[in-house]
This record gives sequence, C-alpha cells and structure tokens, in this order.
Amino acid sequence: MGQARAMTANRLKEILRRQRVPEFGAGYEPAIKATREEAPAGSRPATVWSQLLARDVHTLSVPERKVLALLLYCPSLFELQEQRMLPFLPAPHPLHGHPRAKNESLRDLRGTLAVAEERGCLSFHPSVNVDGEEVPACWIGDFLGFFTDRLGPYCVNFNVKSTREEFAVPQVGISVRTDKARAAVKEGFRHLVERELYADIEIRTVEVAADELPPMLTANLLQQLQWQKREHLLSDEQVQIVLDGFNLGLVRRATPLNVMVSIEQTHGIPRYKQRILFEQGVFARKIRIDLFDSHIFTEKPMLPERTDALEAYANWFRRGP
Amino acid sequence: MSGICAGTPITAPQGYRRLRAGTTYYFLRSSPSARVVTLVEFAPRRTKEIVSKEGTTKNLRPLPFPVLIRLQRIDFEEAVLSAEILPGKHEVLPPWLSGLEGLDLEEVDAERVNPARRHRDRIDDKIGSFYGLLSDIESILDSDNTEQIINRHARSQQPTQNESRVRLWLFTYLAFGRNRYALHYPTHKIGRWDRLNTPSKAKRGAPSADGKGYGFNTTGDMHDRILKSYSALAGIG
Repeated sequence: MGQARAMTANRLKEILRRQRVPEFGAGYEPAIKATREEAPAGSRPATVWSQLLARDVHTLSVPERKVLALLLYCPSLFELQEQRMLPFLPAPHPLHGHPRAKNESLRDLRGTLAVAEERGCLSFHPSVNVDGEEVPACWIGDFLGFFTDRLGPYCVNFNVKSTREEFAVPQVGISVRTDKARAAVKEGFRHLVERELYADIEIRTVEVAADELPPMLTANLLQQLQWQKREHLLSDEQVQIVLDGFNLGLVRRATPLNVMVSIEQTHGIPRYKQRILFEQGVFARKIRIDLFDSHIFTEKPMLPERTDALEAYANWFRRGP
Repeated sequence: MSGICAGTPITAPQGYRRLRAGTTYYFLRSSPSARVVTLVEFAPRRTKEIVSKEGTTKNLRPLPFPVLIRLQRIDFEEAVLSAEILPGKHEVLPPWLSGLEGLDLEEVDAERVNPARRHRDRIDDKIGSFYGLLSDIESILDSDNTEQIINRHARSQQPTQNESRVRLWLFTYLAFGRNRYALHYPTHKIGRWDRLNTPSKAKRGAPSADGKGYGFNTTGDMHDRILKSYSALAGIG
C-alpha cells in the first residue's frame, strides 16, 4: 500500500542498507517494517509468521494480510519478499543469487528512474533532500512472490489495494489540501512504472483489490495462519493417525471436535495438539476442507472442498507474461 | 405447548412455585420419561473486590451462576395454559452480552492486530470443555444429578476445568440456540468504567514529557469546562 511517511535521507539510507541486495530466507529485511516507528500513520501493521519462510512477514494493512494468506497457501511459492524496494538504479534480477536459479539466464532490472524517464514522468519520481541536494529515492512494492513450476523458478509481483478504485485515485496520504487530479496522475504513473519495470524482465504484476476476495476464504486462511507457529511435537506415526482421523471424519461429515474427542480417547493424543495439526493440515492442503462457504468452526460438521482456492486464483500464480 | 422449546425465555409475572416474579428463566427440556421440565436461571453474582499485591483494589464482576430449576411437567403445562407462566421471544445472545448484538464478531476478532489468542479460539476451548456431553445431553438433563455429571466431566478434562464455569458454558450454549457467540467474552464492557466519578491517586493517561506523575486527572467539573471552552473557542484550523 502507499507510503504515508515522508522519505528522509536517513530512511533512504536504511532502506538501501536492507534492500540493495535483499537476502533470501530468514535474513530478509523489508523496506518498511510493521513497527510503530516505521509503519505509516493510520496503517494497521502486523507481522504474520510463515513456517515456509521461517520468519515474520511484515504487513501494513488488512488487505495485505488477506493477500498474504492466499499467497502462502500456494504450495509452489518458495520465497516471498514483502515491502520490497523498486530499485531506482539498475539492479540484479530478484532471483539473482538464489540457489534454485543457478542455471537460469537472468536479466537485470533497469531501475525506476530509467523507466520513468522513458515514460516522461520523471517529475513524479520520489526524491529526497540530502544536504540541500535533491537525490532520487525509491518506491516500495507490496509483495514479490517467487514460484516454481516445471520450467524452473519465476517471480510474480503483487500490488495490493483495498478497492479497485484505489488504483486510480489514491486514498493513502491524501488530505483536503491535496490536488486530487495530480495525485491520480501520479498514482497512475507509479503503477505504470512498477508494471513496466518488472514486465521488462518478464515478471507479471497482479493488481489485487482485496475487497474482491471472498471474505470467508480469507477469514479461514488467516485463522489457520495464526496456528502456524505452534508446535505439536508429535511423532510421525501420531501425526498420521490424527490426519487420517480428520480425513475420515471429513468423509463422514463429522465435526473436528468429534474427531478430536475420539482420538483423545483411543490414542491419548491431547486435543490441543490435534487442533494444531488440524489447522496446519488444512493450510498445508493435507485436509481438503471447504474454505469458501463458511467459517471452519470446531463444532460444525466439516464439508469437503468444492472449489480449490488455487484453481480459483490460478491466474495469480501463473508464469508471465 | 405454545412454541416453547430449548432456549425460550420463561417469566412468571406473579411468581409461580419456584419461579420468582421479575426473573427470566430459560427453558432447556421437557422430559417425556421423567415428566419434569428443566429450566435454567443465570443468577447474577455480586461484584467482588479484588486487592492486588501492590495494594490497589479492583472490582471484579463475575459471570452469572447457573441454577437448574425443575418443575413437574403437568404443573408447568397448566401454568402456561393459565398464563401464569409466559414464554418470551428467543434471544440470540445472553443478557450479559447484549451489547455485542448485531456485530460480526468474527470480523471484529479478525481485525485485532497480533492478538495473543483470538476470541474464536477461546470459544472453541469452552465448547471443547463440554462437547463430550452434547451427544447424550437429553439423558443428562433428564437425570436427577445433572450437575454432578457435568462437574465430573469438567474434572475429567485435560487440563481440569472449573466446574461451575463449564456448567455455565454448557447451559448458555443450550439456552441460546447452540450459538457459539453466546460464549464470547464480554468485550463491550472493557474499559467502560466511570473515570469521572472514580477517585484515584495515580495519574491516569499517557505519561507527560514532564514526568509520569505531572498533571491532574480530569474531574467532572474540568470535563464540563473543557467541552464548554472548546465549543466557544474552536474555529476552522
């Protein structure tokens, strides 16, 4: 989402330190962290733990969290970089240096300055005053997802807004004194530059309006994300017993509590641990339960999956262009 | 029986046998075999004063205490026919949660940023504490020692559950249409205590740059003067 905090020289320096060569895995540092000091005023910062990335993902709004939940649900995602700087100078391909992309021929990013100049919108490019001198600053993207298919790894860029209209008329950082027409033109150019920057190296940009996502699906996925960090410490055999129990219960339309109570009685596996396995199992697609129609409550019968969320949103995750 | 079923609020405007006037009871079950009607009353408990280690006192408002009431089925039916007992309209949430009505509690819960535990999970735990009884609930309610059976179940849980709390949760769940939100935490009451009329030596609010004890707590008089002067002096800024 947008930047509501003014860029300063120190801030830019810190962003460049974190993002000049972004790390992969647990060492990645987002340009804006979901902390009181860094998150824009009026945002809803929160960190979301991801087992896959083994780190907290920093999100700055509820729409971002909804999109994040769906991204992490996709099994072909192997890396994610949130609040990623759009480099203003030429920079290596986002996959550069990743072990999975060792044999790929990767092209470099041109940098937003070059793209903006070509498009004649250099005046809208962010800049910052350093010792009385105007130097270019950076825009910050929302999510860059790293996926893999049979052809190898690829990236998809995600630009998240709460509504479709916000792509044309910005809502963040707008006051009564803002020139709305100019803000809209500026926003339009910002998205154009972002799209072109990535399109140059065959990375698609998906513009997501979070209010178009099914609310039940995102609510269910976010609920399961909350259980990602908990550990069940069960043996592989016990894990299999519990997962089989839930899958059998799913066929019989039992409630999760029914399954948990009976496994607790027969195998002595505590209910809390089974609950962890249940929530994590649904998210890992080991228990294929319906995510679209209703909240997954432990006292309500489980319904088998009718629509696969990944098929419904296959367009998000496909390789570009 | 004039639309009376589990969860129907029951009142006796003039009082009737064990039913006091002015109290609302909730119908749980009419047993064909035992020929008794089981009602539940959620009796309010007195506010308790809790003294902390630091010596500060806090008023704790406990949740109601569930009291089971049994009437002979024939007496109950006659009293309904003679309008000594009046059935009311079904309620979605218990009286102590009436402030939460109309809210999408799932959405409210999801809006919380980095909660240690979601209310949703708390509710799940509460339901889990009595879930084993639900499959057999009719015979438990018909039994002479309903409360003992529930208590025994509460004690058998891992970890052990408080008996009267499990009874309260179970009866609430049954009396309010097996609605999970009837077990929600009364979040609407958090922080609603009367600050203006509660004297306190401690300086409330965020600490001042001049020290955390600097300044005064707002009194009723101060509050009125602030409002008055604001409307007198406010302009377009």
